[in-house]
Amino acid sequence: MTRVMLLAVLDTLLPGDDGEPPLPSASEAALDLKALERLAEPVVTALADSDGFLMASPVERVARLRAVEQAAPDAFKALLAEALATYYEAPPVLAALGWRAAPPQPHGHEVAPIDDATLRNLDKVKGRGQLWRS
Amino acid sequence: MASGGQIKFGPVDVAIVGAGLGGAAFARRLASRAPRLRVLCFERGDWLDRANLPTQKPEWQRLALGAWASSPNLRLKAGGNAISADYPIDDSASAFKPLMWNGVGGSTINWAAHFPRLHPSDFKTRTLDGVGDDWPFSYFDLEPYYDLNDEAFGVSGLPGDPAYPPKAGRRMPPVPLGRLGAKAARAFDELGWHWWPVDAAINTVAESTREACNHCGPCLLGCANGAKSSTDLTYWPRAIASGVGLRTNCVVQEIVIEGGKATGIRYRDGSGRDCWQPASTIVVAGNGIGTARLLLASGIDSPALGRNLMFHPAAYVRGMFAEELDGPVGPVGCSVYSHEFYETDEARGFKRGVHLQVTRENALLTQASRLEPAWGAEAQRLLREEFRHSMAVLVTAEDLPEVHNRVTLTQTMEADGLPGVRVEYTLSDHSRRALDFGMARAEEMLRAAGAHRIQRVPLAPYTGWHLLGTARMGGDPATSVTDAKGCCHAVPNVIVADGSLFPTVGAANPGSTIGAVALKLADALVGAAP
Repeated sequence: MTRVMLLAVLDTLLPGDDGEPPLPSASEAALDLKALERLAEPVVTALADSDGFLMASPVERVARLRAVEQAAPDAFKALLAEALATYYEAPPVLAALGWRAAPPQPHGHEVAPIDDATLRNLDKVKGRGQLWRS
Repeated sequence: MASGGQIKFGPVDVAIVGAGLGGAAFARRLASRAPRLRVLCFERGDWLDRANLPTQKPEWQRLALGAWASSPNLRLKAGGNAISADYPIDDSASAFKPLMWNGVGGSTINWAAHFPRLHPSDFKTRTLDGVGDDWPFSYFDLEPYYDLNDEAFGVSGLPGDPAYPPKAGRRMPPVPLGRLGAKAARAFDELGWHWWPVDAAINTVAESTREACNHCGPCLLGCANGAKSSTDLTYWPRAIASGVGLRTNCVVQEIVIEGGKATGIRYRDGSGRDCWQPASTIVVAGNGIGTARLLLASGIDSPALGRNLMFHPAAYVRGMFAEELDGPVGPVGCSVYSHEFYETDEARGFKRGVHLQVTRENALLTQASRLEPAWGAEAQRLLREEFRHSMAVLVTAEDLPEVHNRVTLTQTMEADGLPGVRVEYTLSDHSRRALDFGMARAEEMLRAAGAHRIQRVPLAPYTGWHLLGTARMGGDPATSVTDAKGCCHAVPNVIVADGSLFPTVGAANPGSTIGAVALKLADALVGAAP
């Protein structure tokens, strides 16, 4: 399997978008392809006609991969899981979605505290009196 | 039976199996109320290493789906977790997949720390509504122990919630609501429905050696800064300081019973050695699956044992909003909840009620992994629409006890030396009606909040946190496993001290009640009052 073929498969799974900012495709996101190469082998084998896949339109590539998804579900699922994990851990992808690359700790996040107006509304809730039964 | 080749230890007064919520609370209470007792706990897993938790690693998102998933089966599939000593569970016949942690702290390690109490009516569903069974004691009997358990865990929240009898002041202010919680609160107000910030077993201010929550998000991966309460941080340090022993990496194989009385436990230690620990009383707290598994494997003869398994049937309704919300920021289970529909109204077509909980979102990868379609441009369009723009409402219903929902042993001997375990659970029509009703109300709230698109998840399989009812309390040995003190009818010096005891389960999370009941049972064992 060539790198071109692997990226063609991955770009079909994860084509990106032209949002603001644009979400990169798998090939644009500079992913670490090592684990993906091994998992893509059976999927590419199931595609049979690699050259045909490379020459196909994006719509046709989707149809061909859907057929593989049906014919070889376990192999496809394994590739997809790794592709999603690798892609959605990639800093350019996280940045495009407005998310940071650093893990949750040690920095955590800011959350807006409860505001006075919301707190005042709790008085209305309290004003309903006992809601429990015994 | 003790046999040649075994390592034999001197007797103790009380041997506790499981260092989770029930076992820890029981141990700590015994140590404080009867300090002369020799108390020793056996835990199959290990202590958590907070310096090495996934939330500090770049690959944390994928770890959440693998070796640090909430499901022991998923963790095992990913190669296992060195701290949680998991065993496989055949859940192929269960609508909900059991979730748990098998190490010191039990499932308080990877819980969301949402910490509601049951309602007074939850303790008398047969009397009030003609369904389920009454508990052998009331909310008000348990109330002093709820307060003690709250004190041990350190609850953040706001007093004054009219859905409950008055509670002692919460020790810390509530977890911040965030944009998501504030928006939900306004919608509940607009509808005239009850809402309240959740009680959470999460420090919102630093206390002692534990930091305040910094809203990192994925509580279910364990809390790196110790803000989230778990029994390895709360009960265990105090229990151990009081003289309780805790042996980790020890898998109890059998409660040995001779002449209708338990004489001790046989266990396999961390080096694989067969060990014998004689004890006057055995306390089992291994959750609704682990406890039933051990009691069944030990030959305890009780027709209700393993039966009446209850979860909290769960569904989700997710609303998409144009404006940016918090997404995966903040403690995942903690925002606001509504008990507007918690108590019975027979006009709804079912008895008992539902709990509506506005939760924070999952990590990006988790969100991406559950989309339909799962890949391609449409999947990425859906993710773009949802990520940081969604609000999820968890709907949980009150499960009712049904004997066919059960835990059984399989013919397979597992690697941990115990028989395999299987869970059979079907969602009842009653629960389905309750969930459908709850989803409709959740959608109503989300529409009032301004959601432009609604997605329903009518049944959420990976929500099987609450493993309850399989060794239920009661007066009749034909329909219950233990008496009101948790003592097994069949073998009275074997005590159950976890959620297995629950005759019914309410519609809200059980952690607070599990801890309170364990404290109460410990007092009962030594004849003490609260």
